[in-house]
Amino acid sequence: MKCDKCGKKAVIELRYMGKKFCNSCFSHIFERRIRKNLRGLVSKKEPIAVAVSGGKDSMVMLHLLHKWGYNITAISIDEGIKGYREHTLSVVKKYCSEQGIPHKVFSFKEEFGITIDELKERKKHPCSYCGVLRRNLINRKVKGECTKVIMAHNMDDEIQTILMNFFRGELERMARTGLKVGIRDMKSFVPVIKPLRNTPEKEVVVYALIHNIPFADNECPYSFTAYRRDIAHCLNFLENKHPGIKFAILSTGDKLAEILKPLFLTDSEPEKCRVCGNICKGDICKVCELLKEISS
Amino acid sequence: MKVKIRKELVEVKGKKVRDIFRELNLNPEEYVVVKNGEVVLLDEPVDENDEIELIPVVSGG
Repeated sequence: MKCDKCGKKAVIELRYMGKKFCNSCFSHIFERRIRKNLRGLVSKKEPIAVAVSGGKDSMVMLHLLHKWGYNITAISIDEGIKGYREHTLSVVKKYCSEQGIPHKVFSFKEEFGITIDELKERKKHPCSYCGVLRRNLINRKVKGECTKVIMAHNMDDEIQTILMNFFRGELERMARTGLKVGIRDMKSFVPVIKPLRNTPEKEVVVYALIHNIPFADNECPYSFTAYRRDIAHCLNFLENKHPGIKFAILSTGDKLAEILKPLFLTDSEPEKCRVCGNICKGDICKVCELLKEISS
Repeated sequence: MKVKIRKELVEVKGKKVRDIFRELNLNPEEYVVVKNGEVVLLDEPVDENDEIELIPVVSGG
């Protein structure tokens, strides 16, 4: 099978385009899509943080931003998951050290006084706590130092979230999806950008393999809920039968977000958490609520 | 031929990568196939001497 662009040996078939590509032509298409997402949103001079877990998505993102000369600092969070996080963090640490990329690690134990392993003993589903605490910690540590946070969520992550929000009727959450996360800029939150959000997960794996980008492939023992996994499998089943359906879902989700955004925009001052002072809905923010729950 | 998948070796028959997916009843959308260290397509021919690995695309973490 030959590359439809240059005639060399093809390594990937992008069925949604009806074309096959070799290493080099595929890499060109892959990189161009991500560069286009960054253009106008992130400048090469501004200091940006890249959230890096050590998995394929964040390692590819880190590799590209470094290759393109962005002013990056890699940020990793150690949630305290024995037998999992040690390995993924060692991959990031080694890569950053070899490439001369500044790397900072912050831990749940030091910042919140509890690990996810300890939380698991008290809570059946620690994933919801993990996500909220991780985002809070990244924002706290990056604020004042970096102007943007880059999150390497791929297209599959995004469309799973779009569908989960749709099924649950979470309209405000649906309004917040996009290349730049959120309905509007807020002083207390460093803007989050997702440059991989229109890149299919499979293509990230292929890119990492053909460019020898190291990544940890072990799975978190707690995360990836059965619900999200079911949706991922359904979407892959549909994509296999109807190539292009994932891009169509992303596009529909983005159109809906644009329609929904004005409904959740208010002129009034946002409420602040009475414990930490961060913007929140109601009296106390989700992080403080969780920490109160944990300590009680 | 033996195919490595999630650290396990599975015995599979077939002449092309596509046959492996058919025999194992797996969705090709969920794996990247590496043959002798190179990423390959579903129409790639395979035989006993090839080292084949199916790398799962879906990860969690």
